[in-house]
Amino acid sequence: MKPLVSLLIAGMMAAGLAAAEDASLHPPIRLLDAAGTNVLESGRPVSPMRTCAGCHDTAYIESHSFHAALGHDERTAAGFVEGGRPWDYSPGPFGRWDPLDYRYLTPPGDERLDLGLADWVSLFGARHVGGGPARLGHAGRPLDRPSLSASGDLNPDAVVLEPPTGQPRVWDWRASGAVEMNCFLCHTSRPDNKARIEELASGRFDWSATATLAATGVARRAESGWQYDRGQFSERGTVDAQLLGLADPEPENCGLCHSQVHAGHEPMQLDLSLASRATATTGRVFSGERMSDSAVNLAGKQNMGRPWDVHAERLVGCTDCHFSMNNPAFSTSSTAPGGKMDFDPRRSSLGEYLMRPSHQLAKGTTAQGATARHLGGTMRRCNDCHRAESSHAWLPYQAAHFAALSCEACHIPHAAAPAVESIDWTVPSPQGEPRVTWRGIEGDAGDRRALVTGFRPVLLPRLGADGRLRLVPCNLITAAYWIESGPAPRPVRLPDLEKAVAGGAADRRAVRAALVAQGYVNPLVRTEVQPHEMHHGVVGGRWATRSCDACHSAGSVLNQPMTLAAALPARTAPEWAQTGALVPAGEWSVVDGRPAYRPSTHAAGFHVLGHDGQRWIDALGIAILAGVLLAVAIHGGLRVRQALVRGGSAPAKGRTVEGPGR
Amino acid sequence: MRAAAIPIAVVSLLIAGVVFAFTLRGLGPVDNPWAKVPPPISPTDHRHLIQGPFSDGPSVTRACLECHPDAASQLMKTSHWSWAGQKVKLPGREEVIAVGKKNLINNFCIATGPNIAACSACHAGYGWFNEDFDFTKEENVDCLICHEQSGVYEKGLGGQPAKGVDLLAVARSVGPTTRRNCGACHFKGGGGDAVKHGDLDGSMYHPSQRIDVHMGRADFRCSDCHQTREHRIPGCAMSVCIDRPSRVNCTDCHSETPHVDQRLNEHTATVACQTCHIPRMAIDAPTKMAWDWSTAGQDLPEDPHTYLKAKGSFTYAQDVRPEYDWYDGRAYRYLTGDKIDDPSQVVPINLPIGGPGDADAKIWPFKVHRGKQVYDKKYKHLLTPRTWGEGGFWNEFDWDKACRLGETPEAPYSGEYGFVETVMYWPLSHMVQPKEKALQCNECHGPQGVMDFKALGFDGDPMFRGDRRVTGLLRTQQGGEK
Amino acid sequence: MSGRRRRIYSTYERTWHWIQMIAVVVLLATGFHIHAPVRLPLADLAAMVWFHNVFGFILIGNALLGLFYFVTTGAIRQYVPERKGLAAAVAAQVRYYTRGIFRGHTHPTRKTPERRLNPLQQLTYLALLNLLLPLQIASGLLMWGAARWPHAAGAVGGLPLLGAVHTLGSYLFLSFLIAHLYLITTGRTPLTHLEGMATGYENFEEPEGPPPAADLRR
Repeated sequence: MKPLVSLLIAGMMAAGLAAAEDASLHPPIRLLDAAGTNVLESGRPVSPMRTCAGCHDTAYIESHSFHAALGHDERTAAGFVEGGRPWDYSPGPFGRWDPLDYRYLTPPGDERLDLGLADWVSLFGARHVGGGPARLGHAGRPLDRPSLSASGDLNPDAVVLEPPTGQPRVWDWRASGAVEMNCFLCHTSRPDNKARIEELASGRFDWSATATLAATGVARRAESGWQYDRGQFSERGTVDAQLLGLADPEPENCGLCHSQVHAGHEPMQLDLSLASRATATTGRVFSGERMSDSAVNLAGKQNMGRPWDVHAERLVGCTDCHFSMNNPAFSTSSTAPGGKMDFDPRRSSLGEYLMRPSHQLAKGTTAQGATARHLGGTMRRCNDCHRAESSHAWLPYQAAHFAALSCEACHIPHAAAPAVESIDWTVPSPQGEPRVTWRGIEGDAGDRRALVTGFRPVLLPRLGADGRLRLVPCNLITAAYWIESGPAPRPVRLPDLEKAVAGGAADRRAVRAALVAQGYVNPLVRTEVQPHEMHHGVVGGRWATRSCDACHSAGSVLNQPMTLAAALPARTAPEWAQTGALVPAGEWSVVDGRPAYRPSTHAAGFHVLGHDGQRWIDALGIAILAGVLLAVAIHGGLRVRQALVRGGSAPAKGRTVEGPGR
Repeated sequence: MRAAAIPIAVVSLLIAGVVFAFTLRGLGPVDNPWAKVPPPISPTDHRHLIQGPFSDGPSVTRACLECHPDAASQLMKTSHWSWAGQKVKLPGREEVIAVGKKNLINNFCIATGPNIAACSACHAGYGWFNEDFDFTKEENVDCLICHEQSGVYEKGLGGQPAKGVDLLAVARSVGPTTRRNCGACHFKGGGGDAVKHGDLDGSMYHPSQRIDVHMGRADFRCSDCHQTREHRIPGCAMSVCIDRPSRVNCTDCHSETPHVDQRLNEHTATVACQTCHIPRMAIDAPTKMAWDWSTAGQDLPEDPHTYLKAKGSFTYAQDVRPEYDWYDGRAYRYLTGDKIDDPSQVVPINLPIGGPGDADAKIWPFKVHRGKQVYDKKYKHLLTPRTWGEGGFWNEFDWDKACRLGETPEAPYSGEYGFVETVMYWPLSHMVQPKEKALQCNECHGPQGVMDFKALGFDGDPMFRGDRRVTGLLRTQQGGEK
Repeated sequence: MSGRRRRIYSTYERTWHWIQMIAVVVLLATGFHIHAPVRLPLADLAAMVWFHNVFGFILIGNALLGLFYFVTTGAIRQYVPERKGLAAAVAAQVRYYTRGIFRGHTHPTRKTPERRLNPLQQLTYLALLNLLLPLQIASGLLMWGAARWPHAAGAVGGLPLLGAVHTLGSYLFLSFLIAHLYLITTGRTPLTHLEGMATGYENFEEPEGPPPAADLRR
């Protein structure tokens, strides 16, 4: 008995010790303000760039991060972005207009001010980690330095639109401060994103990083600004790294801006909003929870024993595939040297990496992630981990299938969560809200009791790095909005639209008239269709499409149409937008009275056995067949008639005299 | 016509060859668990075979034995009769002993000894009121408790049929054992439905597949797995079985490596099937998780799930995760009279044996029942108080008297009693879930995982530490270390 | 009915013919289902493909065995038309089918065990067995082999082209089958030819003129 009990106790103690071992290796840190003084002394906002600079090269990090730049470093003149709209001036959110956000960040030199930089930070800073344009503006100069001239012109760095009057107002950057790149947002385990967004929205930009630490108890909101809790600091003025939860980014960190991420034992609820962007655009939910265990009112839920994402279930996190480009522990075939070599063993040391970790994360090549194009295709792809050839031994015509299909085409057969179907800005509500419809939900997107049916993605051809077209699953979002036509088209400003609606305009004709009255030259409705590629929400083999008939039949899923909206605003065909590497081949059509897009594998050059038969072959074949049948029928008919006529007189026709042939 | 034989043979060969070549791929070993499931027994209608009248239980048994002369002698060799197991050599002990309900202590109602007349209501016999019970008398065997199908049979004190039971009607209803027969005792262990086991309760009389895949989806009865020969019913829980007797194993029907995913199959060397396929216990009915006898006897507000004056305080839990530990099929067992070294420490009543280095041990799910019960402060051993009946604690709320009445030569009572914390492990094997509900990777591994790998003897989460190869815990399927 | 009952088809020839017929019918049925699948309870695409593959190889094997037989026994000569007077013989045959048959004229070619096929038939079979069948076998094999040797199929235009060729070939095969079935009925009685292929024996007119051997040479 004794040894067993002591073993038990020893085990318990070991568990206790183990918990202590789990502590981060990160040393305690001193929270510094922008001047480099401990915030305990100064009471000023925490400057992550100064705080972390003691050990990490924060300037390097900021300049090597497309999450900070958001296309700031890839700007062109408006209209010169590859595949962009006439008013886009960068491939990233800083300069690429998106109808889901609507507001247009006015580039310097534009006559009509829509969104000044400070407003952009307040509105869109919620999905920006800070730094880059939020610190430097269009001009590339620190915004909170006095050098910025407070002139009355329409410099978008300096002015914002005053909501009630619609008049430009100079923004006091020295009072608001700029937004530094916020290390805490991604590198702490309990970032208080709500508090951060609140600071940004209320124009207290400099406090946003401090607010991110609210959940740790280090700082509390005070009457003006924030107050530090001395009790959370050591006597030497440092804060324990464990208290802050300093760590590598977890999926939950990424989920703050990208999509719904769920971990933990509580059943998940869906939070559908445009802010959870990838969930809104593709129905992405990154969670290892079984769908049947979630709190979502899913149709057919009892049979949905699969997790929302098989990689989440198997504990593959975001950074496992989207890793830092100079992380010495990671490499993929795509970063390999090529030529005769498979692997380059020469790496920077861990120490070097920790000092200057590139924050350029390996990425794919989707149309939505168009920023940092030079990094396109660096991420870990399916075949970097999976040996598809051996796991698909059962699949006939493996090479043909692999040449025509992305892995996702079969392994994302269904998006379980709803996604946006259309967004219509042509007649906004009096509050300036667009009309948004979602697909995959029966009822209101905000209603948790609504039945979630999910949707089947539409499969579009996409040009891969190897030059081959492969089908990938997509969601199509149709956006309709007013643009001012002319040599430099721009989307109509939201305040002007709101004014038009407030003036009583209730339909497009009236809105148009009101816009013309406001001085817009020939405002037009533009309808664009954005294909949003789906690469997450992957299912394992058991749940993937594997029935031959699914594709090889008249009703092939490869050619299933996807509805676009309840109705399209204009009679003109919609235009593709942000297609990236996608090469849609199909037609705009109508399904059940609703506008839809019908992809065509035939038009895309695929030959799907059982679906894409060559029509002319069938026509020719049937013609030959019909000819033979006709000939047989006529010939036979004549013979029968002949036999009947001669029936009485000729008992045996074989006995007749020799015919002319002899 | 003989000339025709050659071409026909050649052509047949051709056809056979082509068909064979194309079917070859589909052939392979087939894992068919159904092959091991016994065909249903067609019961014999006993309505006209049994005449009666019956004055008491033994008279029914005599009637049974007329046609089934070996039945009683077969049953009398089993623990359903003896309440004592086979003699075994226990690890860490010199002597060879037989343990069973008769002589063991638990941390529920503590001990059968002084309370046997009440406990024997679940004994497959008639008249076990005290130590004078004749274990050799065949007519004392109770056939009805396991075979009657009328649903009106009840047993009372000493295992005698309850008053008012129409024994003739009951006897005429007999047939093969059903879930209800087994459940009458086994679902109610610990004094009420679902109290004791965590994986056996009344929800399994007519379970949906949500409760148990075998009994729900496949409509198994208990004896489909506990396949009985000559009244020997295999299967035994760790509370009374401390070595590896004839157990019922998943692998009796299923393959050792039944998964499509090779990584899952690698788990089966160290992880019991039950661990993943019983992700939660007490699905529909709350089970008792802790029982503190020390608060009993007070006039506190009573609630059967939190406090009873007779029994003390409890906590119940429903649909909960089990706890996990290594288990090689053997267990350490506290025996009546064993010394308690340190009453400030938790006393394990039983403990699964095994660790990460043991080739036979696997990680198992357990219901862990934590108790606080009476012990002798002077002699330092657990006491076996009389709870039921005259002078019993449930009637008089007097621990001193109860302990005195309950004392045995093995565990004498000095007059000084106290309360000591105890713990008891109940391995789970029922309420099995199909793959759609089994534990997934992230439920054990990762930051949210339920498995405390360090406590189990790993360096850390094996998924991230490399694998079991790194920690030296990788095993082959046969259980040998690599 | 008078005439001499003579053996016209050997046991092997008949076995070969009927197996070929079964294979062709199954291949046509499964092939058209693969080409334009309809959802029927038993018509699972994978099963259809399996049957198509199996019967395809049976057909190939049977064709090779048949070729071996016809070459080694010399029966292949039945299929070789006589160059001399071919045009006239074909013309006579066409005339017979378009006119003579309705007037009760005798078949221009007298069918004998030594000369079973008329010139038109010989030409048809020549095309069928030398062009259409090899084309179907080749395209079918390449499509089947594309699963394992995609380059081979790719070298000749890939599955889209092979599929088209194979489909067209199957339409032609079906057309042949229909014409063949119909022309069977143009024997001395509608069932004469069928009986011949079933039993191996047919009734032949006693030749009044030259002996059969001379007939063959004409």
